[in-house]
Amino acid sequence: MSQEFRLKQNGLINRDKKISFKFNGKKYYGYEGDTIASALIANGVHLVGRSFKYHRPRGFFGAGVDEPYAIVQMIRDGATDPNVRATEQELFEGLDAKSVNCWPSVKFDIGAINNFLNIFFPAGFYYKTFMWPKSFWYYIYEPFIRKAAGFGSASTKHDTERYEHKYEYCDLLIAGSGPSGLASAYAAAKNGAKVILAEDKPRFGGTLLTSDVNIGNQSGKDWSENIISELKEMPNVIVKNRSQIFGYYDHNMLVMSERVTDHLPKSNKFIPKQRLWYIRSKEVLISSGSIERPIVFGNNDTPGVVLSSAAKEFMKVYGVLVGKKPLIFTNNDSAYETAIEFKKNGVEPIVLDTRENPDSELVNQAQNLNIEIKFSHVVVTAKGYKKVKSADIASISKNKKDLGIIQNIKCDCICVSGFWTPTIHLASQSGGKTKFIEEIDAFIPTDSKQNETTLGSANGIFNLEETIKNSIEKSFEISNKITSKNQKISVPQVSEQKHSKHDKFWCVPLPKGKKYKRFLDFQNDVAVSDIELAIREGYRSIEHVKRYTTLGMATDQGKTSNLNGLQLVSGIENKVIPSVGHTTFRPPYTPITIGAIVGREVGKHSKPTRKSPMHKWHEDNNAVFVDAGVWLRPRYYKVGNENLFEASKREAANVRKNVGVCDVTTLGKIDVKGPDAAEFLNRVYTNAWLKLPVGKARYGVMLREDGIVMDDGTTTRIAENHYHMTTTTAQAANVLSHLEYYLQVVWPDLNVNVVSTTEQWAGAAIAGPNSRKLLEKLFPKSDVSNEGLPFMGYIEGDLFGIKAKIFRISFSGELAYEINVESNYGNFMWEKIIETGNEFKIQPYGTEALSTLRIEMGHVAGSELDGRSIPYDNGLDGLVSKKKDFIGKRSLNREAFTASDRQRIVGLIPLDKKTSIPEGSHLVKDSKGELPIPKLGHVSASCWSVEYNNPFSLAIVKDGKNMIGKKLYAMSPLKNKKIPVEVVSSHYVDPKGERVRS
Amino acid sequence: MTSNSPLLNIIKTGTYGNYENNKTNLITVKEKTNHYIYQVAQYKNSTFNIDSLKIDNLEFPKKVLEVKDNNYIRILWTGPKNWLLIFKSKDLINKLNEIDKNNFAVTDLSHTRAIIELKGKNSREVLKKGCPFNINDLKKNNSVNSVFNGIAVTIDMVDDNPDKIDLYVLRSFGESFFHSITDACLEFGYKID
Repeated sequence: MSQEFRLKQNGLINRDKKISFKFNGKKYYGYEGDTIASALIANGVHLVGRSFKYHRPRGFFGAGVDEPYAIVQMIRDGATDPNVRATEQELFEGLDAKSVNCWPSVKFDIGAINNFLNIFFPAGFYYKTFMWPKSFWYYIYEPFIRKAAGFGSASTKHDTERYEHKYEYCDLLIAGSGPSGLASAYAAAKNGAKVILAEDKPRFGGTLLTSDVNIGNQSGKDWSENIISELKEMPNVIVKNRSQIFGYYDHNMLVMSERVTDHLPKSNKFIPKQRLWYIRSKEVLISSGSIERPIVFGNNDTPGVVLSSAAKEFMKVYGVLVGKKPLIFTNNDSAYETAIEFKKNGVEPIVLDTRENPDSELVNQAQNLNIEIKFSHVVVTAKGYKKVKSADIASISKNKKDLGIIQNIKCDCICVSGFWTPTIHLASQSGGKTKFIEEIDAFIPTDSKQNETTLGSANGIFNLEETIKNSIEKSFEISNKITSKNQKISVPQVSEQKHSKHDKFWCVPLPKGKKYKRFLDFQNDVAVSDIELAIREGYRSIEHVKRYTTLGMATDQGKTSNLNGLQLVSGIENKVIPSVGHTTFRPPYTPITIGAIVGREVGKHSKPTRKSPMHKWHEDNNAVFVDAGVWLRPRYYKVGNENLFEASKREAANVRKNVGVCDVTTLGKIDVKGPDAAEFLNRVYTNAWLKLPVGKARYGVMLREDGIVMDDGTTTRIAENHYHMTTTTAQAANVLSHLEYYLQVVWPDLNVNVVSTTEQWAGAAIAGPNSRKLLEKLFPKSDVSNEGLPFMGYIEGDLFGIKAKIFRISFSGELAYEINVESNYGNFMWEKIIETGNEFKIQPYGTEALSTLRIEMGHVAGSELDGRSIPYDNGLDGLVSKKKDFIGKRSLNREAFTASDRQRIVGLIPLDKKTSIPEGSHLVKDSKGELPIPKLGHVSASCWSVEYNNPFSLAIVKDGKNMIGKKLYAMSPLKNKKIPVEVVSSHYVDPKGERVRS
Repeated sequence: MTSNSPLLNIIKTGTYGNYENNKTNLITVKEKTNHYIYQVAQYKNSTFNIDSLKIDNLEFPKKVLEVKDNNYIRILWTGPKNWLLIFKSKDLINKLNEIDKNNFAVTDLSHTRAIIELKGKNSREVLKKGCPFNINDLKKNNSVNSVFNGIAVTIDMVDDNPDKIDLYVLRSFGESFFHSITDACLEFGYKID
């Protein structure tokens, strides 16, 4: 197709580089520097999609981030991206895009029937309909609504693109590279400040690219290009285009989305597609400019109705005409610049100005160019369905309430301008207040809460000379404060045409008997009638009106609709706009991809893992791993076709019969040193520590201040003032914090240092009747006999040339030892243990077997010390000192904790000795009782006892000590099980603890 | 006996990522091994004058971020009355053991860390991808404790012309950290010698 709407000259595109692309499967071409929107318009394509609710035809309304509805689905190497604005996506060779919200095609869309049934879809229709039959909601209504909603489809395939994050710091962050942004950046950079200048568009300069102004004897465009070139060369400046600052958070942190390669065909796989910047800036200058707001009239969403500024931008930046027979509808002078630009390009526009007789340089210039102008005239309605074909126009009375005789004039586009709305989103997100300025009918920022200043038209200043002067002065002031430098730049001379006052008129009244849809929010299909309905139905707060009607919601965030919505509400309620207020501006200002938010936290980078020094050995020996916090621990070692149950049973049985080895590196280890170390431990643990001899270990329990058990473990006295504390894997970091807190805050008088040594030592637990024999072989120079190394004893040994710590402690309940060596030698130790242990039938065992061993011994672990139990509940009465003080002691005297029928740990055996009892089962006396059946306790841990070959569980049961021998039921509603059980001692195996001392 | 460094199983020599487009600015990544790492902590109520404590004629740093270095030993300030000493000579251990135990706790942490050295022009840019600290402000002989992609890391600026940065992470996180940091290097290209 020929580019019939492309101007022969003009524009900033590269006409030497032709680019082909596809839209809705059809091939077109454009030029380097085009957007999808400009290229499609150049090719005469004005229908781009269908609207959200009514499926009305949609064209192009803006020329950038202000575009509410020219949204397309991008297809790139089989992957697809929804919600892409055609006005922002730059063209690249092979680009493929398609329309959204239409089926089977954008030209013939079945969904358009909604437009004819619109009476059934008023504001909030989904709150009033779909009430019956009830079952239809889940199966029919909701799936249908979900299918119909949204702007395109998210890809169901894995996103292979690369997204990255970056943290950056600067003195001054400037959002927007229009006149105020450029002037500010230049002034601050020249004064030595570290500056980041961010521009959403590919080209810097903002309105300077499209305005006929002169700055310092240069055109606005040339001035901006020169400033940018200089800024790019300065080492203290980062200049970023295609970068949208979309969120302003506390402590002057702003988030920016950089579209790094979105404008390129599939690129180097190592270069990110997008990068999310977290920027902390000492000061922020918001130069985000303003957005032209529309005047509301009948069928103002018809393709071909565009913002006047967008029409000008299409001509001046892209060399594209939005129409060849333009009608320009305005209440201010800005649109005359568009009219003049049309005229310069050989197109005859007609201007309808709502003002009666404006006195303005621009109006005069247009008149001198013989542009037809109709004052006190309005567009009543656009005519045409898929494209504007004509417009009904009429004169309007002085009070703007009565229309004159309606006449139809031919046109192929309507360029509308209802004055300008400052873009205050970022300023508002920063926590600052806003105030309404009557003169411009808009809110501007005031009272900054953070180190932020808004400049230029974002601050309601529409005069270029004033904008540049203010920006340079403010920027110097800020940079001087930061750098203490005094390098001032001079304010350039500026010449521009003066604008006259705009007309406050914003909405064309309906002619008698007509019910044209007059849209406020083009993205969400919210019409004037919807807001009127909401108010009739009693919604008063603008926040409620927004939510009921969806005005200003979704990705558009009301960029072109908010002010007109407020005008309407204030008019109906007979209030001034400030008392109506505005809705909250929330980040993101523009849509941000999920990929950019996630960054590289994907796949193996989504969560760090911790591995022991023996991890590779475990991997090589068929270990199946389990997450223990972020540690990866072997759960079991698979032999042949074994499953978890079979493997763990084999491993546990081998420990009971021969000897097993388990990787216990993950247990927390804390070095406690200092002259007051013993006193410190004595206060932290519930039992006594002052008299523990050097070379001995002791089991201890520490409580929180509320008396609840925090953690348990053994601590060994290595030297007079040096202890080696162990904690559970899960609580290691919490225990260290707990100790640090008490040392730093509660007992600053104690001279003690605590430091984590978890990573310093690789640990192996050797357990089983053959463990001593194995130890004798591993440490031939050490006396590891029962006398030389008794239960809870500690010695240091030589493991084939490696220094080792040997602790005689046991979690399995068997004769057992734990060996620690420095981590670099962890794998060496492990291999030596396996190699030497072969003659004693050693097998490695994982956490599942470890769990079995401790459960049948009645040793408590995380499932019993679950943040709800006190020492007495777990049969640890003997560890609670009656004499000395310790953390949590007073809490143990609370009434509930001392109740005679307090819960207590017990053992459970199913009566049939076959059925495993699910963990978490509730224990009740009468399984058939009336609901709710009183709960007596719960099952904390279950295993298959390898000692007795039947299931065994630990449970916490009310009045547990008097329940031994009772018959109860374990109820698991989740697994639909009701198991008769007998309460037995929690020490199912070796209740006297003879094995560990053997 | 075999000593296995934390990254032994994963680190492999070669060039990776976008190296063809950045041959002159390639980052080098290296695992530093066989270093001794000792923590020296002065007890809170100790009145010992730290100015008089020297190891190998090197005084202890007293300011935030500060590192003292004499080519044999680096002493990193890691908190009030808390230092990390990094050195290669075993002889220094004896000197550390001579420190008064009534005033100081000296703890061997040599096996607790995986150490990765990043060298090259874009090293800071790599760190900026996952570390929220203001890397721009780090100069030669500065160190800081921060995080990189959720993993706690000590960043030691060994040199700043060109940038040479030692990164200390808990040994068990070593592999995850290595994958994370080298992934961040891909954009610039990197080599492992």
